Amino acid sequence: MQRYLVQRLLLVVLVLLGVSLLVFVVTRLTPGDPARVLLGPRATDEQVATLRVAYGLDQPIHVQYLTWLGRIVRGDFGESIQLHRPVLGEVLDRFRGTLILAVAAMVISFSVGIVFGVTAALRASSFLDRVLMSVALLGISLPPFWVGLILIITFSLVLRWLPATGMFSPTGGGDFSDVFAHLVLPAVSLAVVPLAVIARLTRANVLEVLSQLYVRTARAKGLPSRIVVVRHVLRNTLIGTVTILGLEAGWLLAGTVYIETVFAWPGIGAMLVNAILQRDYPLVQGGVLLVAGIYVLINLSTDIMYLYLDPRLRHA
Amino acid sequence: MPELAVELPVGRHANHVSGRRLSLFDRPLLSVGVSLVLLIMVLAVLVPVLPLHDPNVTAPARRLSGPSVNGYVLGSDQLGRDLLSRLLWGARVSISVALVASAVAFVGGGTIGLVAGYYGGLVGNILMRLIDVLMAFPYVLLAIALVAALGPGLLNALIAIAVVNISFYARGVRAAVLVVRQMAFIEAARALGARDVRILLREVLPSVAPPLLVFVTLNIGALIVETAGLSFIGLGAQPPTADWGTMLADGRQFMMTAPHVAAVPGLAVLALVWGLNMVGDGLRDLLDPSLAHATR
Repeated sequence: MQRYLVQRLLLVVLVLLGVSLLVFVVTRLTPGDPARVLLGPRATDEQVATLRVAYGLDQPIHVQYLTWLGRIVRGDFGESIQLHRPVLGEVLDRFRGTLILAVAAMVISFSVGIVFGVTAALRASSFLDRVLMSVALLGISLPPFWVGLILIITFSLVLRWLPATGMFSPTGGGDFSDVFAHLVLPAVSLAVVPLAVIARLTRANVLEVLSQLYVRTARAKGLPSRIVVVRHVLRNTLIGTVTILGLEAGWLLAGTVYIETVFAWPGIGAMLVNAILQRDYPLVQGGVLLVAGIYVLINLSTDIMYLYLDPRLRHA
Repeated sequence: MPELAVELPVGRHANHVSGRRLSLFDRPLLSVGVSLVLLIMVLAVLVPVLPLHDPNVTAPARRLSGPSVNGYVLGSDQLGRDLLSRLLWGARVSISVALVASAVAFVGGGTIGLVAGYYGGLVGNILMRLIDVLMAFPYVLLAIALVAALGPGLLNALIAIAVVNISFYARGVRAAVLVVRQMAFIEAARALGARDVRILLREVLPSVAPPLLVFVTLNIGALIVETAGLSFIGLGAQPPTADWGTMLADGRQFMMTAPHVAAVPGLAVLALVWGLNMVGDGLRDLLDPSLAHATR
């Protein structure tokens, strides 16, 4: 098991190196000279050249990569070209917004999705099951950004119950209830698709476990149905649930890009889209590296959780 | 959608499918899905001969008309262009981008998965580690970064979406091939002296084809949402080309006065993707009855 963990960690380092190379190359493929973009169309060639030297853009590309990688390893992600502040600080600030949004969406999608999935599985082929699964099939087909627009139209513009954009009210906002009110619509928009996916996968998981012999044994020895479900069925669907957790984390990190754009939510997704459009290389690189790093770590922890949850794997 | 990352169900009955008659109308999910998808496809194909307004002719005096006002069935947009006509012309764009992107991802990812799954060893390992790097990016982020690098535009959005989906196909096909590789008929083919290429194309590929069909159907739906998403944030189709994503982005600016302009293109995406997902689910039940009880 230790050997497995060491191998797994080495793989993480390898993947992160690959990610860093890809991020670096992709951001360098971008047409347009960042120095010229930054200085505007009226800058002289001399000014552009000076800035290129200042940012090291005149060096050969592999030297630029190695210098950059060396700095990253030491925690120096450089300075945002647009904002003139350290990338790390900006990325971490923005990540807080994304984290709040993603956690809220995760809570909604997991709690509701699992309840729907388990209910449908325990009453398989019933009318309720058919209704829940039809709704779930519709749910996985929804474009999340469109859900956001429809929620804004309904609850902000027509009913005027909830604010449409941002994370705080411009004046006098910022306390818990204010942030909560701003959070509801984006969190629901982000949660809808994963909720439907979780409901479908949970139903399939529970049905799979229900067909196992140990469940029949538990029933045969006369255990009350509630105990069979809680102790034998649900416990054994945990592995499946952890798999979903890993999948969903990636989807949430990606889905926030659209949702943050629709709701002007101050998170890392909206920041990245903006940084890409403005050709702010250091910010793009730092942001993408951070998100990819977190994603890789989530996948690693899912794998470790399997070991914890399934004794068979520990001894393999 | 992450559901696609789940391993392909290799049907125990996969090899017998060709011998069974497809009973389309015994299966409501499949028949409703097929009808919905066909309806949209036929409308998209027929749009040049349909009696519709020109999608790009503006009529400032009749801008933001509601549905069935001023002779517009679905209303008009901020420049007075006919929404129904733009929707159907946009369908051609959205559907062809998704089809071509999925074909590219299918060939690219499928080849990688086939080779990595069949040969394994060092080659397989290296290929899958490269796929791991691709998978380390949340996919929307990678697509956005690629489009930014190549420059916004429909063709570049297509390339980005194809590249991003290569990893899904590679992993899915590899997982399916790993199962098939162990089977006796592969060994038999090898014992008869068949070459690797022949075994891959004549034995392995047909065996993994049925689950792949389900995978592709569900994936095209996801690709349609992704294409619309990239266009929605301004990285896909550029004016005057209209696809469903740019129409949504246009409508977003007039949510207050004319909510239908944003609602209509989203409903179109929903209808098509919903239809494709019904077809995918229906096909899965049809091809692998052992899964039917679990997924319906």
